[in-house]
Amino acid sequence: MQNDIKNELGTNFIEYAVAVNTDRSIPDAKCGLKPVAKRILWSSFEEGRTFNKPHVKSARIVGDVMGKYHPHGDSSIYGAMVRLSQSWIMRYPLIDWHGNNGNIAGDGPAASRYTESRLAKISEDGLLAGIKKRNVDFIPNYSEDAEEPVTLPSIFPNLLCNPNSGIGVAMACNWLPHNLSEVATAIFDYMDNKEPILPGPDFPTGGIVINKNDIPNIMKTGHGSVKVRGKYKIEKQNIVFYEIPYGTTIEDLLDEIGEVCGGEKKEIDGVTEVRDESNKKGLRIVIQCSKDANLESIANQLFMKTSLQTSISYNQVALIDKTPTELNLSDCIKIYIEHNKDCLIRETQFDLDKAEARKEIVDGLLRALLSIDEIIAFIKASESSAVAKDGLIKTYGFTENQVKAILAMRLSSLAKLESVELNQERAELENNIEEWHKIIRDQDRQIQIIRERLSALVKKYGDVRRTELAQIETPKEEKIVEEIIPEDVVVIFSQSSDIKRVPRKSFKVQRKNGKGIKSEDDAILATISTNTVDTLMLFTSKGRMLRLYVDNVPAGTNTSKGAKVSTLISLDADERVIAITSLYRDSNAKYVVFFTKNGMIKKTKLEEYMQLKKNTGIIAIKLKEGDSLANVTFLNEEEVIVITKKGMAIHFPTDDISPIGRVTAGVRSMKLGPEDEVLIGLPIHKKTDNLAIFTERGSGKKISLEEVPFQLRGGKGVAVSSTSIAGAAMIDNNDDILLVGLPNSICVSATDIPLMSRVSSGNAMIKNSKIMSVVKL
Amino acid sequence: MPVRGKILNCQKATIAQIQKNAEIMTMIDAFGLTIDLKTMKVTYEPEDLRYDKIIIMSDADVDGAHIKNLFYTFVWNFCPQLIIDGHVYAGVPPLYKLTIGKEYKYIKNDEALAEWKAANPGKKFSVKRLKGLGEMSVEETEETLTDPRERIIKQITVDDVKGTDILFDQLMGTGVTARKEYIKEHSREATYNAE
Repeated sequence: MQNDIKNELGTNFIEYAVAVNTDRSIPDAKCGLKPVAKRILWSSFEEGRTFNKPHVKSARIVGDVMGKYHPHGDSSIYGAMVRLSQSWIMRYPLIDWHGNNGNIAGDGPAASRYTESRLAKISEDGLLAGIKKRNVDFIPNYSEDAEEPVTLPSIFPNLLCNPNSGIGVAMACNWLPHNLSEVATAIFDYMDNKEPILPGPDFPTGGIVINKNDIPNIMKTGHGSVKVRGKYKIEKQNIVFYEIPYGTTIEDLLDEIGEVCGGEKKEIDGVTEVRDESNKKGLRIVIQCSKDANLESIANQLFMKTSLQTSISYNQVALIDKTPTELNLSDCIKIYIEHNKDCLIRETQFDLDKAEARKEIVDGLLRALLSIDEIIAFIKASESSAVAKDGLIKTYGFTENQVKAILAMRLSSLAKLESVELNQERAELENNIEEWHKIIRDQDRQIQIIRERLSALVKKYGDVRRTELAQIETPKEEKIVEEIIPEDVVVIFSQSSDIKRVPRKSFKVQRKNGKGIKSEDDAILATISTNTVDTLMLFTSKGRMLRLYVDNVPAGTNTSKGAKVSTLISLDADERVIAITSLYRDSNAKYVVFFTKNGMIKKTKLEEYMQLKKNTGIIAIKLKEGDSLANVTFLNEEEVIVITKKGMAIHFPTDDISPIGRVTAGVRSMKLGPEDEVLIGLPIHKKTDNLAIFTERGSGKKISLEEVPFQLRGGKGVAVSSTSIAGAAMIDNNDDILLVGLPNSICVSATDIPLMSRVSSGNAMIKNSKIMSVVKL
Repeated sequence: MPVRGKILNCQKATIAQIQKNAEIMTMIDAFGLTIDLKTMKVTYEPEDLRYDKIIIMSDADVDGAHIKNLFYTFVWNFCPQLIIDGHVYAGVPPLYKLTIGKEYKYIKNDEALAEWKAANPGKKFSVKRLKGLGEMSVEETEETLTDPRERIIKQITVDDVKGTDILFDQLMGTGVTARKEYIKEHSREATYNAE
């Protein structure tokens, strides 16, 4: 036998994928249970592990489920069973537990040989009611020696009230818990042809949902996420959390809080101790703060930096006829009503069949009583009971069932009273049969009964909402910025990866060709004029982008050495930062534009770079082998000038460059001469600006834009300097320019830079010093 | 060589994860392959190979199918030549064991069972469905899987290396979209019947 690998792989894969997606990880839309949970409930019910009987060892239930219905691991069955019982996971626990089933602190349950369990009352009343009347389909189990229900009756809207989550193959689901009374209201509204509304999730653990305004759309689509916060109160200088977000554990929270309030990073100041004081009265995480600390501010930072605020996603996928389907609120309710109608009809049909069979017999008996003497004589004259039976059917027109009942009549039923009773029973049966026929025919009547049953369930099990719904705006950046004093600074990044920030005010404008101020930086890679409230975007040799708050860059002076950038962001061992930029001055920009040393230009929509978490980088650009970034800046539709180290410049439009995705290389910006490389690309914000060019030797000039004629992208450009260029900027007369050099740096005013032709060589800008980097302040 | 449960998905795993995985490393050793621990490059000298046939045996259910795929993924990532040269086989355990009086017979699959039933009308028999390797006795395992005279094995062959590469990446790699598409396209072909 042979099989091609592609065929083998494909067949195995599809078998596994279909099985997992349709029979393991996704709940059934009708009862809101995954197969394992359904089997636990059904097996418990069948074995009589009900609420009116004592608990039994959990291992026994697991054994029954495994042996009869679910031929998989016992640990996964026990795990599912424990989960069904956990009051901080299930909004309405379906298993009643005795013993240790874990806790919200994060401890696991005791082993199944120690614990005991049985069905919760709500499972019997809400998910199994009427199942004895076979109101759902049954199929044989895996070994074909027992039967199991395909779904459960579910007058309890379990799909919406209890949580569910699962990961299949290329597919997953996440159902959040809701309040029974609210779900019932939504169902009633739907029955009345009104738009059903659910106010939002209701977690067993309480907490506050802070983006209430997003909920209507989530209900409409079945997708979206809610942000949940824990609840706290202030006691003296303590922040006391008494409710935590759904899905978190006390243990993990304590770890997280400990990490941000102490430890190496110490992102939050003012917390002196964190304690868990939870006991049987309730949950209590105490965060003790120093005397002068601002408690509100600490609490807000905790929400930002720990799981005390958590985002939880709706992903409402459930199985309809074994097909995973995305469902919104209306879909769920529609399925609920249809399913319950179907159950009701089957249940009623079951009663009806039984009543009709009984009526047949009662009719027979009554008729027999009318001429009982004759019938007795007939039976007496018969040779055997078989002959009597046939004779009665033939002569009197009784049915077979009737004859059986007549032959089994006791002598005592000949009493007069008996026929009165039978007449009464018959009237009752007739009433019932009429009513049940009506139910089977009449949809309105069905709806009314479902309504009554659901109302009764709500009356018995409905409870008040535990999770508060609110709308609290929390722009992330601002929250952090709040603690920072805004200050204009220059960030200097050296070739040896040292980074520091120097206050802008320490650079005083001097006359050109002055001595400048001492600087000790080695070769400079980038200088950025920004503000402490801003965030830097750092681009690496591997094409990744990371972010760094300017405030986190160590403050220094002209002469101080910076910190290694690798201590501030997480870089791979062989990864270097090769370009830095900041949005501070260009916050209205649409695009990020990259200029590479080998003459490529790429523009990508800014928002692609904005969704980035704290420390994890994203791929920003695909760099070809041997290429590196010259600079990265921001753009709307402006034209740009690209300048090379050897003094070539090209001026071209960018509106014809189409924006492309992050992980791409871009298009050619200019053709480079031998051993030349792109130094910088500059967007032209104002056509009246001049291009200022500074050479490594220390001279500078500005030239009018007309000197650099408009060209097609990809050309060679024109010469703008005869010696190597150190830096360039687009300036107007109000600008000050910082020239970072060795051994000195100087800050000059734009008015002090001579306007010259592109071929002239410029004036000296600084005495006895080289220029390494240029930045407009 | 016993490999318990699902092995690491080598298409998705990082080098560090693979290095830490005892089962994968043992398998590489056991096959007679050499691995450079720094680069994780496997070298394969046909004469150093310890076995001519490497047979993966797993349960005849969907999880068994998944385990087989994980195994192929491992081999394909480290040493595709093993498969290309035809050293990799899959064991095909029978699905049923029929007992007819004192005799018994293994039946490969549902179709074969139906055939047998049609060919032997009126015979009394009992059927046992062999759900996993774990529930077979030693004798049963020997008869169906290890005895070279009795066992059924299928050789895994390759005729399109590039296409195979693509399919592995599609089905076992990190991207979800390709898998989703594949499921959408092929789910009708599945014979799996949810019980």
